[in-house]
Amino acid sequence: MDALEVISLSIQYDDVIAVSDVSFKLSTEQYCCLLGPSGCGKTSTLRAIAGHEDVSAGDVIVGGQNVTDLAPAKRPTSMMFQDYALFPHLTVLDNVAFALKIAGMDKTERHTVALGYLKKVQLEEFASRFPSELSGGQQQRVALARALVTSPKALLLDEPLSALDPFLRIDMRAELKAMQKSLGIPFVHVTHSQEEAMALSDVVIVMDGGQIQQVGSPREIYETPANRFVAEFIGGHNVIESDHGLVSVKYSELQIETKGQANSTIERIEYLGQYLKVSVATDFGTLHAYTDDKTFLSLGLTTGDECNTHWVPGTETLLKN
Amino acid sequence: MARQNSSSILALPFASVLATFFILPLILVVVVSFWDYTEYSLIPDLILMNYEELFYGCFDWSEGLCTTFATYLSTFKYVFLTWFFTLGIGFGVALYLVFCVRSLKMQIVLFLICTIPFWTSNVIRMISWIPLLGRNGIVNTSLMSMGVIDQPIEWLLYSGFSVTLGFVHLYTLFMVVPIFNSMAKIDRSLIEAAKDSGASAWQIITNIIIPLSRSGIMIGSIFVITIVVGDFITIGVLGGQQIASVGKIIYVEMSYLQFPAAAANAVVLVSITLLMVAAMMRIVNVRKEL
Repeated sequence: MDALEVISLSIQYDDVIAVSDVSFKLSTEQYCCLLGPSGCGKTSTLRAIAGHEDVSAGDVIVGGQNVTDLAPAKRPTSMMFQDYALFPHLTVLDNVAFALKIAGMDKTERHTVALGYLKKVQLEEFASRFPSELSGGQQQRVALARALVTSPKALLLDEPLSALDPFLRIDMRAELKAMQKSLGIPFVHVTHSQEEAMALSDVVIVMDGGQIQQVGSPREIYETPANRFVAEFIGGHNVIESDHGLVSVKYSELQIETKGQANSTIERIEYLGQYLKVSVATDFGTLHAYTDDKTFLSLGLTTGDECNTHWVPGTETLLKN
Repeated sequence: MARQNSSSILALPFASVLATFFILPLILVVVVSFWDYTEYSLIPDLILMNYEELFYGCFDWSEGLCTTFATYLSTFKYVFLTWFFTLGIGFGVALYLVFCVRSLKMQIVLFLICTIPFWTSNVIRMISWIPLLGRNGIVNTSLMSMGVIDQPIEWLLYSGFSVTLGFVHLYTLFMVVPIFNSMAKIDRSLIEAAKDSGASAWQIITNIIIPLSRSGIMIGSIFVITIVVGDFITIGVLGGQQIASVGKIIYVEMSYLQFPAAAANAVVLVSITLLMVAAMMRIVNVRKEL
């Protein structure tokens, strides 16, 4: 049985269609990222699963139960908000225990349960603090504990890492992934960062214009992008109108050499540590290549030099449009 | 430091207005409350007579409540009633404006509608209740013609009812504005987070909205309480000059040129009001929450 299933979901505001005909399925083992630029419908989709958005058409099924018409409170899902939405007037412990208080659990019992969840996120010594006294990463862990306290069957995360600084973001995403594996429930994580999606996901759903552009594992998406949008959005791909149609060639597959017919000019060379990013002007426009620094430097090319640029046939991916 | 000096110059005009027309008169009132007086003159002095007369017989419980205590009791009855109703209505209006009205434009329009009554003077708004509530007023005549009652309802006007109604009508907006302000600062995602945790609308109000609009509630309460506690016009006009209030006593004493007695009364009233405000500030740290 699928842990979470979205069937032909559409969301319409007045005359704007925010989400159109979105369908996907997740099993309990899967960490899923909804990836796309702002306004692509990823957040609306997430909010519709949580019940915070009215659905125009389609169904949301969680753990075999159709929850489409249920209020957020009645759904076996839990949401973690972008800026965590911690209650500023409650202590960390009371924040985590909030849902239990609403459910009518008495004070000592709910505090015991909440403390258990705080231990899970290593924050038990901060139980009596207020959210404003915690760092961003700690607040995020409180939000996680609060979302988990109701034992949800799916956790929905709205850009959970966007408020953190870059280093913390990398630590936290590892924690999120580990938490998902240990809980055995699907996580649906909205992000506009392709790096985050690649690092975290078992399944990436790339969205644009309210529609799903591609669904697949990070590797599938990166190796074989479905269309121009996906190839351009996930980055690292040259999109080229070749004789065989529209193709994408990964930066790492583009070869720059001194032998062979000169068909391009070097525009820019950027040193990025493990590799060089070389930009060349060609008849197809500017293309980029990632190349090993030793190999490239041995060619002795500098900006303005002419060179041969090509890719090995078969390394390109044919795009739909 | 130089920066701080130059910015304090900006506060100087208003500070000097306050010093001349508020602080100085207040000091004068305190000073005069210790003076002696006759029917036609004020005698600078340092006596406690005015205070003694104010509380004359007040600590002799066998006589029942003294005039001063009875007056304070009556005043506080209206303070409490007005506070109670303005808080209820003001909280409801603010709640509706902030959380039920979706568009900002509509919020502004409705907010302006709330302020329309303020385009006419206080006294006129009070007096306009009279033709409505009077014995032959619109309410009584229409109820009688509908056959609901055979005799005019007497308690509609010149009664505790009309005074409370007047106060609530005049001062509800003083509750709405600060509560609206603090509610508008509540992050919407907190409401969604509460809904996500299973909270009903009522639980959201009691667990999230009320605690987070405490400072607005407190500021609105201070406004309403301090205004009503010293009122003498509304109580006079809508109470038919029959209901006692501390403000009214001061007013009457002034009209008989008993300035020191009025001053003593005023000092006691201001002290009590200050104590109340201080107590409220202790409950909620307004400065921290602004």
